[in-house]
Order: sequence, then structure tokens, then C-alpha cells
Amino acid sequence: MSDDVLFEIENLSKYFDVENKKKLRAVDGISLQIKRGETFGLVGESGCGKSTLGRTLVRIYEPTSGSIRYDGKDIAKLGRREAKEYASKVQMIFQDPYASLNPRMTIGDIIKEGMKIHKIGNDKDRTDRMCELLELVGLSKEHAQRFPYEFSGGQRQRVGIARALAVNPEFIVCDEPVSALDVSIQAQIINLLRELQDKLGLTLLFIAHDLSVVRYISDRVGVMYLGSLVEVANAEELYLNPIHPYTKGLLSAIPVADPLVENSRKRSLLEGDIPSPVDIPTGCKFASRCPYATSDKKEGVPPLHDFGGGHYVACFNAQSLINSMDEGNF
Amino acid sequence: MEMVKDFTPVPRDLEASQKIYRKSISYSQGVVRTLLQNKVAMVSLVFILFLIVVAIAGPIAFPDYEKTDLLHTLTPPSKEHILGTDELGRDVFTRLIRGTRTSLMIGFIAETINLVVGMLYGGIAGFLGGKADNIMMRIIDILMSIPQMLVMILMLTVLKKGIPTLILSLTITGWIGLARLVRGQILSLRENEYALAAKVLGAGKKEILLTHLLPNAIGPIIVNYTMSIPGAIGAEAGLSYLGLGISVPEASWGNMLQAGSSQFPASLWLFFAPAVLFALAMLAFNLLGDGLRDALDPKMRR
Amino acid sequence: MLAIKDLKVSFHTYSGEVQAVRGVNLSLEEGGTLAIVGESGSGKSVTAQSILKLHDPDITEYKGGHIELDGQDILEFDEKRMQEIRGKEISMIFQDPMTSLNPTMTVGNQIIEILKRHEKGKDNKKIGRKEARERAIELLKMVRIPNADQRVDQYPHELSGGQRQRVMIAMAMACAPRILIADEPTTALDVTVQLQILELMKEMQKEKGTSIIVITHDMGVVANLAKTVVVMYGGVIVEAGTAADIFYRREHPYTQGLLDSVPNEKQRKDKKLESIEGTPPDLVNPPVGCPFADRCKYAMKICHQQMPEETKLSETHLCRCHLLDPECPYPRISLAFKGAKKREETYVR
Repeated sequence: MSDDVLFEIENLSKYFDVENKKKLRAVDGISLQIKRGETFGLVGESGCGKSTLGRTLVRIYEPTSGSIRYDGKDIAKLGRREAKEYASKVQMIFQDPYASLNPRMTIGDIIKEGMKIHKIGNDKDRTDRMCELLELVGLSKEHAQRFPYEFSGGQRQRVGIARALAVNPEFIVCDEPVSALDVSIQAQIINLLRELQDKLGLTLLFIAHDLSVVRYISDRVGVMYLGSLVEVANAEELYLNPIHPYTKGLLSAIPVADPLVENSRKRSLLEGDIPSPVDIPTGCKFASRCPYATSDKKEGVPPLHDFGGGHYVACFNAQSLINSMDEGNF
Repeated sequence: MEMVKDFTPVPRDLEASQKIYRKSISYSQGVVRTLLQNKVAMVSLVFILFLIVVAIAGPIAFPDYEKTDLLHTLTPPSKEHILGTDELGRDVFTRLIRGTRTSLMIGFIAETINLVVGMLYGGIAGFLGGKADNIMMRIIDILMSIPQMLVMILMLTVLKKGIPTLILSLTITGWIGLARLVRGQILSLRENEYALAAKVLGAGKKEILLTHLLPNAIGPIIVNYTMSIPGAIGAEAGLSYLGLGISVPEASWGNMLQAGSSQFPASLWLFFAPAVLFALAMLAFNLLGDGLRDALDPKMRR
Repeated sequence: MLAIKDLKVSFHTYSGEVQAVRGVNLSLEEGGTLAIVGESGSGKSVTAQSILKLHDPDITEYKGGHIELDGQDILEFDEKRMQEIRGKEISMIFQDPMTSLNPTMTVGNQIIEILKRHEKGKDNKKIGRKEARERAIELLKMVRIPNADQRVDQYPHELSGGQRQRVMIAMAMACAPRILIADEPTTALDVTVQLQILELMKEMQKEKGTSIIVITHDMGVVANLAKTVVVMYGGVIVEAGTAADIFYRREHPYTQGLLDSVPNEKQRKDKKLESIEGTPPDLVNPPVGCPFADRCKYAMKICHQQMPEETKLSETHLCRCHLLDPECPYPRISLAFKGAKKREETYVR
């Protein structure tokens, strides 16, 4: 894997206006690099802003502040033509395979839509390409004339993937692509995504709340909490040696398909719910749920700090947590 | 009969498991089929079509709705006048046919104008969003604050009475409801994942509006249109009843009701004939609207 | 206490008759926890909802079988009798707490409504509003909602997803039902909250002795909660047994596939995930043979020709698979475990 950076995200924020002139801080000052060819996994509880971040990258949302550089270019400063080109390079696969396909269009038209928008080939070329794509994602060309409601969730998700691939993208945001699917189908889609990534050299941002899937598919993983990244590391490193207390809590809650493990499970480490992103507490955002929170109020949000080997943690007490882990007191 | 047990391994046939056995039907085919199965809606539809045929062809077959016959005033139903005559000896049956044309025409024309204006206004507001939407919605709020009945009565008193004025008074604020509906639909559909997917693919706002938003908003619009026609017909009847709408010798359901009620209860037929037809028509439009709502909503499909 | 015997349910749709449930037998003990596992279209939800007769009567046909509650057949009860049972004897919680709570009523009033419908007050007369409200607060406390006496006056949208599901449980438990049916109770929730909700359900069960039927496709939830497990596929039960039977002694290729397709710690990154290829059968046209045959890597000719009989492997463990036929020349799954790869290769020929 080459180390050149595809996305350079700097201090990115996306706020939404809510009632009473308040701001919902969905993404709150995130800096992140995504390397060409890698799969970057993004995890966190619902409402942590992971989907908003993904949507901001594909320009569904305009950022409130901060910058996104793609291939060295600031995407906010793209001209009309460049913006359209960007739209073909950066694609998205959506969560809900039932809502993401227009019920009035046939599968064939749905896949061809992107090619039409970008004026790729004539109608015959597009039809040929559409048939190719259908087969690439494991459907058959007989399905082209059918309507979305005739397909199962997994088949629809394959159509969604084919639609994204139709414009030859380099980067795909996969926003919870399997969480609405049955378990037996999830593995099919994950395998398909990996296969396509190898074949087409794609870079993926894989957003999910299923931590075991993210561990399997990702090269690096970022953990988000209330709009901020609290930990970023290589996937194995993160799962084997989590440092941030939130990551630890999250990982400890992964369900295991084994009654012996589940019956000996201790109580959840994470109590309570995620606070509202409208009234974010000052200081460390996780402090209200953190078992290691200290009483001395520190100013500001803890910054992401590199603790070696590309393992970044945003915690005031990270060093002492690492020390106690090293001493085996944990 | 004991079957031979054949334990030969067979490779997986994934093609077979992917195959769809059900017949493919498009959205509109599904709508038609659901509607055809709904007996109440079908009876209503047939009745409405019948009324439309009567409204178009009836006055050609029975043109003499104005002809008075002062020798036979207020005669009860008989062979010559199956629905009797009014106080000037005009044939009630012929007038009822003429009235059907007037009332339906007012209902259809007024609501079609409302449909076009409302769809354009609401579509543009929802499509532009942001500030433009805000301004357009405030304009609607201002229009809404003027009492509609008062405007209608005022217009009909000041301007020349007749069908055009009546239609104008019904449409001057009549489109607002539909505009709001369309805007709401467009705004909510805009957040749908398939609309977002089109945006991510680089589709322009116009493409998204035409291929993704309007086709999916059309269901509620049709339902609203169907259900608002009886509203317009009812308003005509009400205004004519007050003597503000269509005045004699022109016939409409409203002014026939008014004429009937002035002879009530001595000449019951004068009142009952238009009243029954009016009530049935209102019911039919509403029932058809209900049927359409069920048929157009894919979630109601079985 | 509850026994389903040879239940068959069909829906009449445009495309024809969907045979959603095709002969299901299961039973639930007092205080037990039963998990029904399967994917969408397997008939798991239809089976559970039949217990409360929640299906649209216009299109639903109960083609056969009985659902016996204390020996009485629920399928023969009329709607009025069913209303007495729903919420009082048997209650249900759904996947999405947002759509199953009324957004225009405070959570307190929603609980009070149920109490008024089914419960009597202290003096054995109709329950008064004040008493019902106190009971509602108690219930909210029971499901561990913080500041219950304030939360009682809040609307569903003011609560978080986990708290809404807690409210749903409080509502379901309001009349201390004997059976709680939980249809994908944690699917819409985050793992951290999922764990809290599962813990809560287990506590409720311990305190009140309620029997639980949980419907899920998540084997993690099954492992956490269930004592007995029923695996459904294509409208039939393909395997049933205790949790240990299913997790450690499974014999059906589908059960095997379900457990394999969840990546675990040992999953190697360079290896593909074990997946069950293909799509479940369309029950308008149910296959004559084993419903899983099209997707099964061990499928034999017989699997496409006739539905396998139930084989009783132990007092508790049932499985429907031709591999268990005494005449079958191939080893059963549990024996082939290690050699599974080799077997697959022989099949490619």
C-alpha cells in the first residue's frame, strides 16, 4: 500500500441549526488523513457524527468550517467542471437499501443514471456497461428491467454498489452498508466490497456501528464520540490495545455468538447514554460517562496525540492509562 | 410410494436462488390493479365518469333548460316532466343536466388551475429551498391570514356575477393548500437516500426534481386534486345558495338547491333532485380519493 | 405453557399465496426464554405475531395448526378475547421504539392508558388517574430510567433511543404479562445500549418470572439471552435445541452458516468471510425439497426432491437435514467440522 494521502481533512466542522438558535455540532473539528488504497473504518454510537462526516466528504453537506483536500485540491474551491469530475471520483453507498433506490425506476435505469449525468458513452455503451456491472456485483442482466421492490435487501444493496461503480470512482463512502441486512447476507456484501476494492483499487471509508465487521474490513480505524475523533489506529492495534476509555467500553460491548462468553460477561462498562450534540459539555466530551474522569476541570477538548506507531488518542489521561496497562494493573 | 433416495452431491445453483418468480409489475400497473380491486372506488369512478358524460352530452340532448311554461308551474313529477317543473314551469330534469355541467365545470376548472399554480409554486419553493423558500412561504402565510370566504363574497358582490368570476374567487387563494403539500413532499423527498444518491452522482437540482422528486410526489397530489373537487363544487353550491354564485336562468346545483328550498316543503321534488345528485357526487369524489390514496401508496400495497 | 402445533400461515397477495409459515412446532416453558432465529422472510416474525393475531385478517389465513395457551387454542378466540390477552397476558416490544410509541402523548400517559385498560385499582374498582400515574413512575423506575418522576411527563422524542426502548419495556411489563415477545428488540440500538437492554430484560425476567420469546437474526443476542433456540428458514424450523445444542452441537448447514458469517476475533484478514451465497427462497413458490438446498454447499439430489424429516438427535435437539439420514453416505456436519473444506473440494468435482 502506498502512503500517499488521498484525503486531507483539516479541522472540519459541520453544524446544523436547530430550534432556539442553537447549533447541533455533528462534526466538531476533525482532522484526518485517508491514504490512497486503504480502507478507513469509522465507528461510534449513533449520533456521533460519523455519517455526517461521510456525507460532507461526498458534498451532500457543505462544511461549516475547515477544509477537505482531495488529491491536494481544496474541494470547496473547485470550479463547476472540476466539481462534476469530483462527483464521479467520489461516490457513496447508502445504509438503507429500501430507501436508496427510486421506486419508480428500473434497476437498469438506476445504474445508468450516473453515466447519463456524466455523459459517458452513448445509450448502447451504457447498457453494455450496465449489464457488465450487474454481473460484477453478482446479479444478472435479466434483472435490469425489474423494479427495486422485487429484490431482497442484499440484492438491492448490490444495485446500490453497481450504481456507485458506474461512474468509475476512486473513493467510496460506505455508510453502514450492511447494518440493514440479514447476517447471512452481510458477509456476502462485505466479501463483494473487498473483492471490488482489490480489483478496482478503490479507497474506502467504511462507516459502521458493527465493530467486528469494521475490524475485519479496515486497515485503520477511527473512533468518534460526539463529533470528535477520540482514537485512531491500525485496526489490529486498536482492537488489541485500545487506550481511550470510550474505545474500551465500546469494544467490551461487542456481542459474541457464544453463550459461554456471553454468560460470563461483566456488566457493560459504558453506562448511560450519549449526551445531546446540542449541549456538548465543555472540556473532554466523554467525561460525563468516563470511569477515569478526574475532578480537575481541564480547559478545552483533549487533542489527538500520537502515542507511537500511528496510534492517536485524545485523552488527558492517556499517558497514565498506558502506564498502568504496561504495568499490568489493568 | 417410497422415493428412491439419491444422495449424489449437487453443486450450488446460485442462479436458481437469485431467480425471481413473481411477475414484474411497474408502479403504475400496481396502482391500476389496486384500484380495480377496490369496489367502492370503482363504483365511485364509474359514477363520476357517468356524470362527466352527462355534463358533456346531456345539454346537447336536452337543450331547453331556459324554456318556461307558465301554464305548468310547480307540477310534480309526471310522464312529461319526470322530475316535475319549477315555479316558472321549467323542466327540472333538463335543468339538472345543465346544472351538472355548470357545477362540474366549475369544480374541474377551478381545481385544475389550483393544481397547476400550486404545483408550480410549491415545487419551486421546495426546489429552491433556503431563503427563496422562506420568502415564498411567508407570502402564503399572508394570503392565508385573509379570510377566504370574505374575499369570495367580496369579489362576487363587486365583479360581474357568473362562472368566470366564481372560478376566479375559488382560485385566488385555493391553490395554497396544494402548494404547501407539494413543497412539503419535495422537501421530505429531497432528504431521501435516492435523491441524495443522485446528488452524489453529480445530478443537478433540475434533474433531481424531475426524475426523483416529482414522480414520487405525484400520488398525494392526485389524491389532493380528487378530494378538492367536491370542495369547489360545494363552495359553488354554498355561494349560489346565498344568491352570490350562478344566477338564473343559468342552472347549477347550487341555485337549484336554493330554488328548491324556497318552495320547501310544498314542492319537495324541486329540492330533492339536486340535493341527491349533489350529495352522491360529493360522496363519489371523496370515496374515489380514498381509493386512490390507498392505491398510490406503495406501502398499502399487498 | 404456550405450545404452537403444526402452525401454517399464508398471506394472500397479488403475486399469489405466500406460504410464510409452513408447519411450525414449538413450546415455551413458564419462565423460559426462547429465541427464534432466522433472516427476513424466514417466517420468524410471522410465527411470533400469530401468537397475538396481529396480522391483517383480510389477507391472512391460518391454514392449520393450533396455538395453545394453557391448553386453549388462541386461533379460535375472537377479537374481543384477543384484546383482553394482548398487553395483559402476552405483550410485545418492537424493533423501532420511535414508531411504536405515540409521538403526541407523554410516555406517562401511554403507560397510564394501558393500566386503565387492563388493571384494577387498590380497592378493586377502576384504577384512578393518580394511582395509575404513581404506578407509571414505578414502572419507569423499574426499567431504570433516571429521574423517572420528570421523564414521565416527557414526549418520546425527548428521550434517547435506548430510553425509548426502556419505555417500551415498561409499557410491555405494565400488567405483568406472562409472556413477553421481543421482535428484534435491540437491532436499532448501538452495541453499548444493546447490552444494557439485554441486561434489563434478564433482570425483569428474574424479578417477575416472565417468559420471553425473542426474535432476532443476531446470534450474539441469542447467546446472551436464550435458553432454547429455534432456527427458522423458508417458513420451517430447520433446527431446534438448547443454546448449547445450537452453538456447540449444531447439525444444520444453515445454522453453521449463520454462526460462521459473523466475523470473530480469529477471522483472518486475508481470508474471505464465510458467507451463505444466494438469496432465500420466495415463498410464493416454496421449493418442494429442503428450502435451504439452493444455497447449501452440502446439497444433494435428494435435498431438491423432498423435504427432510425432523431427526431427533437428543431429548432437546431437533434437526431437519438429509445429512442426518442414516442412509446418507456423508458425515454429518458436527463430524465433518474439521474436514469441511475437504468435503467442499470433493463437491466441486
